[in-house]
Amino acid sequence: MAIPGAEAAEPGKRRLTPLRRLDDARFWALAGAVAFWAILLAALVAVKSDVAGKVVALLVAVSGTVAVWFAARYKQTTAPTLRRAARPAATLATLLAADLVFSGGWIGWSVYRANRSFDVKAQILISGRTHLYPSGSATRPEDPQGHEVATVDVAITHPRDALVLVFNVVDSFPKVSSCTPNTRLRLTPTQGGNPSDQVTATPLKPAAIPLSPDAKQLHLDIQIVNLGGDHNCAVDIAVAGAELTND
Amino acid sequence: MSVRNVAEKAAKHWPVLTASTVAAALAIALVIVVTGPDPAPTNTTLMSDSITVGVVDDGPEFDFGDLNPSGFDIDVMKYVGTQLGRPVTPTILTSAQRGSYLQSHTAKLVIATYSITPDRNSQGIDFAGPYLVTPQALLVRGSDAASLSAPNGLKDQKVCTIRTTTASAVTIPQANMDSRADTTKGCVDQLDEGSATAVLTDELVLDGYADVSNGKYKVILSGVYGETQYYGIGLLGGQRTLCHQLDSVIISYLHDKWRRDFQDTLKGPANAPLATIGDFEGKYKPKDSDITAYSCKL
Repeated sequence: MAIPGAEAAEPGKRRLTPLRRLDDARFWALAGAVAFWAILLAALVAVKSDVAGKVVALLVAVSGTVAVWFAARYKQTTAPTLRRAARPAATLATLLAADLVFSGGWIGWSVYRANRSFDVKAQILISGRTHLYPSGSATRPEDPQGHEVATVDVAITHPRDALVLVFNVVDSFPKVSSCTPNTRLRLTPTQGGNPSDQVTATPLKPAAIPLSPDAKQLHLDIQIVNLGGDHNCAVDIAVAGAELTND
Repeated sequence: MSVRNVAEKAAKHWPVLTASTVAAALAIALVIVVTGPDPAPTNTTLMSDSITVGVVDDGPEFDFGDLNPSGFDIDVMKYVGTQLGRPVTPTILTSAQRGSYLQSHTAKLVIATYSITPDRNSQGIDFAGPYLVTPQALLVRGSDAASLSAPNGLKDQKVCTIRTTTASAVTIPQANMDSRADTTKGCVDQLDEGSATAVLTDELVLDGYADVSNGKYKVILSGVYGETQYYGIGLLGGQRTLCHQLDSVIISYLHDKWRRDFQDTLKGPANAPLATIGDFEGKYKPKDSDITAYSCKL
């Protein structure tokens, strides 16, 4: 099929490829369409799509930039009459490169936004945190402040893999003995009404509670374990840190 | 130059040489004193010829006797002295005086069934150790043991505790906790007189009284009330180097001598059946990790 604008092949002259025969207007119409599509695609996925979509947009922008750059170079070097194509080609390549940077930056931001940790300490609701006894205590039933179970409730404001909690523990009766070094916290999480695996926390060390992808609320029952087997070693607990995280 | 000439020349210059040497030595000494590191207070404590150690004298099998004290705490004291390479001098105090003896520098160390507590830490008392672990329990007359061990057996009963000890901060539900004494023996005397029905303190201390009483007293409800006690060597806070030195001595003691001393002095608990634990070490011997967790906080 004859391409409009193409030069006729003559004996003794180099045979022109279809691209070399492409006139300026059509070449730039084609290149402009590639650029427009790449930029539009990037803009759309930046707003709408997930991370995979953004990666596709990035690849399109990369391939579009490379294709236009090579096409312009090809025409510039093989068809001197079209040398003026160099400046618009550079402009187009710059636009597409900007698109590339934008798409890459957006992907990076999206990955960061999807994985960054959120401090939710202020949203923690804790009850029964003072005079928390291990089970089987003989003195707890008569302690007006005594508890055997403390509870923590927190809204899962962002979908993350885990809630990392740090507990601070101090002795309820500092005149009697030092319970803190031998105290561990047994955490029983409930999400959506379903209890999940228990987690043991050491005071002042982070304990990660795995979250289900659709978790909106987490409830924790907290019981005290005394490694020395002391049933009366009562402690007061507090949440020193709480983060939703993917780490 | 003849030998005589040399001698005469040396004699002539001797006063000058001596003065120069002395001046240089003084200058060097001054530089060392001024620029050298401050001696740690712990070293000054240990560099004295003898270490004064506060002990009580009313704990059978722990610290007993004024002239020739003996018991588990005394064994620990002697071991510490040997390991630090210093003689130790025991000074008798009461349980209530343990903190004040350290704070007034009357004693450098206290080894006297002295429990590690956050409250004592907050008063400036630091601890090395622990070297012994014990639950708390009640000493009662042998004839009362069965009835007082029953549920609600302690309801309205007078329970004596020793002032300033950890047990004095314990509450037994429904019991009358108003009786107080300055020493363990004071509470045991109240038990004898009938003004108290039971003495609440550390089980190992009470075991000593029960062991020497030929069945007159019995220890009941071990670990039911109160909290587990961790005995440490008390010292004034801010002496980290000394504290860590003592920790090393205690770790060495736990590995080398603890078991033998326990069997030799605390015979009752050493021979008591401990079916669930298997051996008295499981109940009364601290782990090395306890030392990291409990000691040298100040």
